[in-house]
Formats: sequence, C-alpha cells, structure tokens
Amino acid sequence: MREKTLEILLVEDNPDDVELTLHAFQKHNLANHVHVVRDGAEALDFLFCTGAYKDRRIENSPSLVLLDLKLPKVDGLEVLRRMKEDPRTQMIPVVVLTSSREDRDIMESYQLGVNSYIVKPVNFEQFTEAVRQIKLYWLLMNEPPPIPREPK
Amino acid sequence: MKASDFQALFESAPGLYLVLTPALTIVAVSDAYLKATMTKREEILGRGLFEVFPDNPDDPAATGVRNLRASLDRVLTHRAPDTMAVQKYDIRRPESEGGGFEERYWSPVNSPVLGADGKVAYIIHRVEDVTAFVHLKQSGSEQYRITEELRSRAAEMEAEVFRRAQQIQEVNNQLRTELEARKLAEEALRDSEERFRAVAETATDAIVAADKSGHITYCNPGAERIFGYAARDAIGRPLTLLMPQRFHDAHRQGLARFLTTGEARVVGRTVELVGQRKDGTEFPLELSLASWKVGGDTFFAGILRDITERKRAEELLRASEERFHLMVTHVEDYAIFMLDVEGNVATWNAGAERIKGYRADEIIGRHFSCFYVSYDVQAGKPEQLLQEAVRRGRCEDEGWRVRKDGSQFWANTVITALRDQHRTLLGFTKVTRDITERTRLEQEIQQHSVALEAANKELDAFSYSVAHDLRAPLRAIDGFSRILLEDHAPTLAPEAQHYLNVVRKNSQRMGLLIDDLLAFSRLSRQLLNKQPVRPADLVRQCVDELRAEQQGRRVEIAIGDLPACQADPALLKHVWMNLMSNALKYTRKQEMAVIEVGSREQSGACVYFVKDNGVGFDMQYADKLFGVFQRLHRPEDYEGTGVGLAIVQRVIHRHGGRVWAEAAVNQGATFYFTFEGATPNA
Repeated sequence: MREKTLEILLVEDNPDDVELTLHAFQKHNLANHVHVVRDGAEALDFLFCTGAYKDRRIENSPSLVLLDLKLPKVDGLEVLRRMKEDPRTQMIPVVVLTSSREDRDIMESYQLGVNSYIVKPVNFEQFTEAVRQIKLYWLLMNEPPPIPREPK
Repeated sequence: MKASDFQALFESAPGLYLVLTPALTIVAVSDAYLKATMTKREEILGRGLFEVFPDNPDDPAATGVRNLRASLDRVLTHRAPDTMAVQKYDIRRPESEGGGFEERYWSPVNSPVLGADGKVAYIIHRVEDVTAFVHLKQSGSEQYRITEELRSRAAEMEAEVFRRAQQIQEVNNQLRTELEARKLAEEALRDSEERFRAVAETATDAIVAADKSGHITYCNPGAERIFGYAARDAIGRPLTLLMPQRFHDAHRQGLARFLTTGEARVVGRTVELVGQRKDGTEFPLELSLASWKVGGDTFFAGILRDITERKRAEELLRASEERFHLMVTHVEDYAIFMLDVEGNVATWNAGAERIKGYRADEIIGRHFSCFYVSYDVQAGKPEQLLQEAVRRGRCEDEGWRVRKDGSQFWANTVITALRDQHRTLLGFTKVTRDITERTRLEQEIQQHSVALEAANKELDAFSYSVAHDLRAPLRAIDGFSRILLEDHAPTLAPEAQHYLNVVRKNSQRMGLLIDDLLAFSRLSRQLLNKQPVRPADLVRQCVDELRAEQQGRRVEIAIGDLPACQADPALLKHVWMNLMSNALKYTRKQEMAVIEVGSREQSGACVYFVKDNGVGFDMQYADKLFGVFQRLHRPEDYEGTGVGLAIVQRVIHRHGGRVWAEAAVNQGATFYFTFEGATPNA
C-alpha cells in the first residue's frame, strides 16, 4: 500500500523559484504533498533510495516529478535519463519545468521520454496557472501507472 | 555417218593435220601427220604443242616455235586463217632411230574452228612437209646434175623465195602490230578526250584553254560562272580579259618570254593570282597552268579556282592564331610553355618568366626537371608526370616548385600531351599556376572558420545561459511583487501598490525582451532547411493564428498571387507572421483595416509585399526600421519589443535576399521582400 497518495518531487535549485512554486501549490492545497530536493544528485538519491534517502522504500515512488534542467552536480537531463532507463522509475510521470525555451533542451527531453515540457512564465499569474494545470492534469485527470510489485 | 566414222576418215586423210585447243593442247591428229613427224598418236594426244615439238636445241637460229606461236596467237585474236611462210622446224628423232633432231621444212596454215558462241573452239594446223624439196635443192642429186646451172638458179630462186617469204612475214607482223597499237592509241585518245570534256563541263573550277598568242580557245561552265562571261563571248579574246589592268603587261611579257626562251614562271606550277570578273570586281584565284605543243604550236590550259573563301578562312585562322599566340605570350598569371618529346623547354611566355624567373633565352632547350625540388627530381617525378601525360593525355599535379633564384612556390601544374592527327607524340604543353597565395588564403579562411565556429559556440553557450539565468530573477521580482500585492494589500498605501505594479510591468516587459532576443538569436543560428514552399499557405496560417488581433475589428485581407519559392518554411513563416501582425497592429486605429498581400515581378525576381492602410511612418527613419530594439512608435500607442522586423531582415538575409519598406505618416506602409529562390511564375 502507498504511504502517501499524492506526492510531488520538486527538483529545483533556485530558492526563490522553490518559494514561488510552493506558494502556488499552497493556493491549490498541495504544498504538504511536495517534497523539494535542491540538486540532481539529491533527486537521484531520493528516487533510488540511496545516500540520505537509503531508508526510503523505492515502491513509495512520487506520483509526479517536476524537474528543472539547469541544476548543480547532476543536471536535469541526466536525472531524466537515469529515471527512464530504470524499470523501477521509468513509469513515473516527469514534467520538465524550466526557464529554457531552447530547441535542443526540448528535443533532448522528449527523446529521453519526458511526459511534458513547460516553460516557466515570468508573469506570476501565468506561473500559478501553469502549476494549477499541472496539478489538474497529472494528479487528477491522469490515470497513474499501477503500483510495481516487489521484485522477485 | 557416225562420229566414229568421221574420226576414222579424219585420221586416215592424206593431209597432215593437227587439231589444237585454244590452249594449244593437241586433241586430234592425222596418221599422215604422225608419220611425217615420227610420232605416235598415244604419245602426243593431250599434250601441249610446243612440249611435243620444241625447237632444236642444237640450232641457235631456230625460229620455228616463235613463228608458230605468233601465227596461232593471230588466229586466236582475229579468228581468221593464218598462212605461214615456209618454216624450218626440226623434228625430234625417236630414240629407237638414234635420237637427236632431224632437219625439216614445213609450209603451215592455221585455221580457226569457231564454236556456237563465235569464239575459237579449235585450231586446225595443216602442214605440207617441203623438206624433200628443200633438200633436193640443197643436196645436188645426180638426177639434176645435168641441169645444174638451171637447177642452181632455180635453187637460188627457191631460196630467194623462202627468204622473201620470211621477210614479208616479218614486215607483215610489224605492220600488223603497228596498226593495232595505233588503233588502241586512237581509242585511248577518244576516251581521254571524252573524259576530259565530262570533267571540264562539270568542274566547279574554271578551266580555260588558250593558244600561243594568248587568246582564249575554250571556257568551261565553271569559268563562265566564276568570271561572268559566256563562253562564246570569251573565246577568241585575249587572256588579259580575265585579269585586272595592272597585270596585263606582266602577263604579256611572261607569255613572250616563255615562247621565246621556254622560261616558265607560271607554266607547270600552281600560283596565286588576282582575277577580274566581267563586272570589274577582283578576287584571289589559284592557277594551275599546263602547256603543250602540237605540230610546233604551243597551247595552254589552266585550271583556276576562286579562293576568296579560302583566303578569308586563312586570314581568320591567321588572325585567330596570332591572337592566341599574343594571348599566350602575354598571359602573366599562368606559365604556359611547351616541352619537346624529351621534356626540354621549347617555348616560354611572359607568365613563365614572371612565375619561374627565367628569361626565354636562359631556359629554352633545358630539361623541365630544373623546375622541381631536388627530392622530386631524385624520385623521378618529372619523368613520371610526362609518362602519365603520355598514357592518359593529361596529368595534373600540385606541389613545391623552384624558381630561378632557388626560392620555392606552391604550384598547380597541368601537363597535356600534344599529338598530331596520326597520334604521333609531338611534345607537351605545360601550364603552371603559382597558388602559394591561394593556398595561404585557403589556410587563412580555414583558420577564420575555426575561429568563427568557436565564436558561434560561445554565443550558443551565452544564449543558453541567458535563457536559463536571466529569466529566473525576473520571475522572482514579478512573483514576489504579486504576492505582496495579494497577501499584504491592506497594509500597503495605494502609492506603494502603484509602484509595485510598475515593478511588475517592467519585469514582465524585460521577460518579453529576453524572449524575443533569444528567438532572434535562435533564428540566426538555426540551419537553413530549404525546400519548395507555397507562401499562400503560410499567409493563411498566419491570418488564422492572428485571429485574436482581428476580434471586434473591421479587417479586410486580400491575398493575391503568391508564386511558390525555395525557402526554409519555418523561418519564412516568421517573416510573414511578423509582417502580418505588424499590419494588423498598425491598422488598429483605422475604422476599416485594409491589408493586401501579393507579389510582383522585378528584374526577373519575385518580390512579395504586405501593404496596409495603417498609421505608416516617416521615411526619414526607414533605416532604423530593421534594427534590433528599434521602434518608431511609443509603447503606449503600439506595444512591441522592436525585434520583429529585425527577425524579418535576418531571415531574408539568410536566404540571400533583401527587404525594404515604403510608407508615409498616416498613409499606410508597404513592406517588400525578395530572396534567392523567389522566382516569378513561369
């Protein structure tokens, strides 16, 4: 059984962006279900239950990962690649939430199997609206993948 | 009677008969003949006449075979009987009777037997053996002793008759031969005359004959055509008729000299002279003149050819050769010279002197290997290049060459084998270019492109970081201002709220500027993907996507003829999008916006245009129109970042084209653009 039903992993290094994002989630009563990691290495530890997260159970995967691309240590595309390569994490929906509108970022993200690519708007109303849409689509409308069984 | 009876009759006839085929094979013989010649039928039938009856080898004066053969030949030729004089023709004595030859005298007649086809089928050779008579006359037998004187006179007479007969036969033979020769000659003459006439009448050259006084005796149609005189008008007139006045004296002197001294300057050779037509025009001609004598009179015949065309062609060829020669001689950018078959320098031009440093007199005759660096010479490279040129007709090479002063240059050389029409090697042409400078420039370009590529990468990294890092602070400024306004409104004075809104408006504007700037930079870096494009489709998509802008307005958009072109469709769409959105934006204050999209032909290219009836602009600022962040309107009147037209210009420039505008304040604006790949409808 899942311990928590709605859990969002927010991978974001910029503290202001973290605060703005959480503010937006708060408006939609989601803030308590968001876990924030501040770089790519920490994101991988969380997802694969290693390092600081070695006591976490991998079956309790988050329902959604919001991933920035430009991150310290390990960048967002690498996190995405590792997730989609591993059968235990490849079914978790990943939404890239970034400032970059560069073609190569968009292209590479989709090639690695990203589920959605959203450019963070400068305008705060638009940003909150984007966060609301993400919640609506990925957490309410989208049928999540079945819970993986214990590996034999 | 039966055939066998005839044979028996023939064989037993008292005369001496031999029947021969035209090939002179014996096919029948009478018994009397066999007896007279001491031969047997079975021994001679089927054999050749002269095989059976050869001359007596012991008689050096024997003429029997020669005379008999001549007579038989006459029979075969004339198909008429031929009577021979008395012949001494010795007969071979059979071995049983002691062998050797027995003296015999004969009087032969040869008669033809003609076949149904009129040809000689057989020859009957009939002889009388007159040996006894001749012997009698020569032997002085008892019987005639008493009338010795008489008989000796008779004998002399007989001998005389025999000699005379021989002489007459000789004369006859000679006469006959002479007659035949004359007949043949006459026929040949008649033939050759006819041939000459046929040739003369159809020849395109002029053929003119004259007598020794230089008067024309014959003109062929070719002469009539070339000189313009009818033959009847020319015949009897002097040859000077056919030449300009200034040559008349020389002609007369030459004719007189030839007739008196035989010194020929023109006769017997081909010379070029000037002719004059009936209408007075002069033309160059080639004359081949022959002369001959008949009965002491001299005659002339000349073949004259109008060589106007040939002269013109020769002149053109000479001029072209001279031009070519001048060109080669004076060309300075290329060393152009020739090598003989061994590779020795044979000619030298100005370019060769400039590039290689040798004067012509220093280098002609030297082997061309002196142009090569020592390691190439040691490796046998010059010879290898010549061999390759011989094998393939041509060979090209690039490498270091040596000047006279020992300095080296990087050269491109082409060696071509020269052959005549029989494929015999005449030598080589060699063209050498000094491409040291070009190679240096190529390397420079290479370095520049490496540098450019590095700069592009840097720019790329810069844009990437702009995209990520410059927008984040703006988002924070806008976001937290908004949170302040929302969550802390009660504690904020209205003035403070106004200032926060100004902060927000500016951060949002900066976000737009960054977005547009990044878009502009992306368009410059993106690779062109040219393909056939239908601009009409792009324009319709734009109109569709700009529907929001048209909401609640009266807008009339007329799309005219827009020929297809070659372009990057994604980039070209930016052009149409910006121009269409500008047209809509700047007609916003018109009661009725009228936008016309179309094309027109200009100097063979297709020029597209977007015309509106909007606010327009002052043409004195037209040069600022396409600069990045340049605006001709206040932001409160018309929003915008000033990047749209810069994008338009960048895209058009990348397509190798240009964009320009015509406008006046409050009278609308028209934007034109054209590019490589924009061609009018055929």
